[in-house]
Amino acid sequence: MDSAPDSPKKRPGSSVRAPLEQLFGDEGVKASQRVRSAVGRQIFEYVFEQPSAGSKRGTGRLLIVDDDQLSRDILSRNLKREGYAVEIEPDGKRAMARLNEGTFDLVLWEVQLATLSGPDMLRWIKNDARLQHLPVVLISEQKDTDTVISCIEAGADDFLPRPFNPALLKARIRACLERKTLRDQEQRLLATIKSQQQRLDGELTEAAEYLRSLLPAPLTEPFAIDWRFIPSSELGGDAFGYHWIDDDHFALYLLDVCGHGVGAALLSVAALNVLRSGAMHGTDFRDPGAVLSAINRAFPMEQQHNRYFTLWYGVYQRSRQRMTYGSGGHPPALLFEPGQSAPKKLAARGMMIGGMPNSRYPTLTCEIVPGSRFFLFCDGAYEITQPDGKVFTFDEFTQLLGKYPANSAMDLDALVAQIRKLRGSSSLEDDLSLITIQF
Amino acid sequence: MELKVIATDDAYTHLALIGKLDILGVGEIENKFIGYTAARKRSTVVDLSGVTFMGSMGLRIFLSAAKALSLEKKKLILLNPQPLVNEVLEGSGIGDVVTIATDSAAAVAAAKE
Repeated sequence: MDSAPDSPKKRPGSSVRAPLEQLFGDEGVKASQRVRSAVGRQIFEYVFEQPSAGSKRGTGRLLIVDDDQLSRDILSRNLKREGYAVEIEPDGKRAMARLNEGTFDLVLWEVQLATLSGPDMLRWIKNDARLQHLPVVLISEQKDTDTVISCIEAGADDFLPRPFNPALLKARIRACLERKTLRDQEQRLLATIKSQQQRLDGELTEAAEYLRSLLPAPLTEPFAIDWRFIPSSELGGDAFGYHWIDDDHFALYLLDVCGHGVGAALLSVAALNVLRSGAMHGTDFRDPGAVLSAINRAFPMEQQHNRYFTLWYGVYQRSRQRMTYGSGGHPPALLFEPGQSAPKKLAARGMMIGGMPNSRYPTLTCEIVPGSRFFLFCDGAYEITQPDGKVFTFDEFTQLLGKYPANSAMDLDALVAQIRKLRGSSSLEDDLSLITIQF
Repeated sequence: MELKVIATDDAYTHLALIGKLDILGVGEIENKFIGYTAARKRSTVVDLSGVTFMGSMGLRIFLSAAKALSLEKKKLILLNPQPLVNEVLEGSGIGDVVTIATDSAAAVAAAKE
């Protein structure tokens, strides 16, 4: 479509304005405006009343805010003809009140509006969470360039210079509304993602609370047991427990499923519940080798999403003051005896649980001297990559534990703080589980 | 994590791993490693001298590969692990299904048997 009114030479009223003003002062200005309006109306109506053939009908609810009746009427008619639902408002403050209803898809605003200028309106809109994404198209005179630039920098989406070019008007309104549609879709998608994330977070929290509820309370009698459990993500792959099998035998176990997260946690809970409940028919839970063999048969990795776990299982016999134990690929437990600087390693050979169906797990025995301090932990307690890239070793961890001699006060929080300090961060690479017993 | 192919022929596969075999490292090479071991169905020597860390997920890929190869009567031989990595391998009990070697020529010869 030809942009007939775009040329400054054809600007409505321009040919008669200057002489009238010069000749008649204020009265001349009023006369000039009347004349300009009359001429402009004819020209605009000629141009805008031309049918918009072959184009798609617009959809959306628009508010035109302009105190120039001619301008807003012409604009309104043109946009209605394109299919938009259009409302008009000459007063800026009333316009803001109507925008706050939240039912408009776009606002066209006269940049020099007497009751609320473009810059003031933008400051208002962009600070309002409900309106900040509403597309704003400024209506301006050619001479308003500096104000328009400052408004666009302040967040206006586009501007329409007077006299209006119908093709430009149509294209800009459509582009702004398409951007709004995309933004609305994005907002809906983000809201859906946020809602799903909140639901998942809630479920993960519930699952983590469930896992934690399975862990036993610290004991003080007949020996003191304490522990720390710090999963590296919402859900860890570590789990542990202890309980009296009978009056004389006390079972103690810690397992570590490879990896962490939901999959690892599900397997760790399943295995832990088997150990807690003694739910393996025909297995003597006082015999670590038998327990390890049975649980290895019960959890083949091919049936556990290719996951295996390590397990250290021990049984303390009170009457004989000894510990029998076995291990399925788990790091050794450590026993610090009174008066001894080096600890005993309670290590046993054995394949990771679920690795091979017919693996054998020997049962070993260790005497427990009264006053000894025992530690059982997962590899996450010592496989710490330090800020310089060096990995903390099992031997270095043993030396660290040696700083808490048997029969001395044990501060597990201080120990965990030292581990975090080694890591150089409050977050850990792997789950950290640590149990200590003061016999 | 890097996986290098040292040699492949009808008799065996010779690979080298370089880097940290933690969850991220394993994720980077797992499919390729399975392709050269379990899928290729040849006895395999894996040079571990360039592996600086071995986590539980690292053990898992060796265990899976060794089990798949054993079904074909083939071997998985882990060559020259660094002390820390060797400590993890020994402690895991994986020695029941893989061979840990320190002599490269002997490892290749064993793979070609």
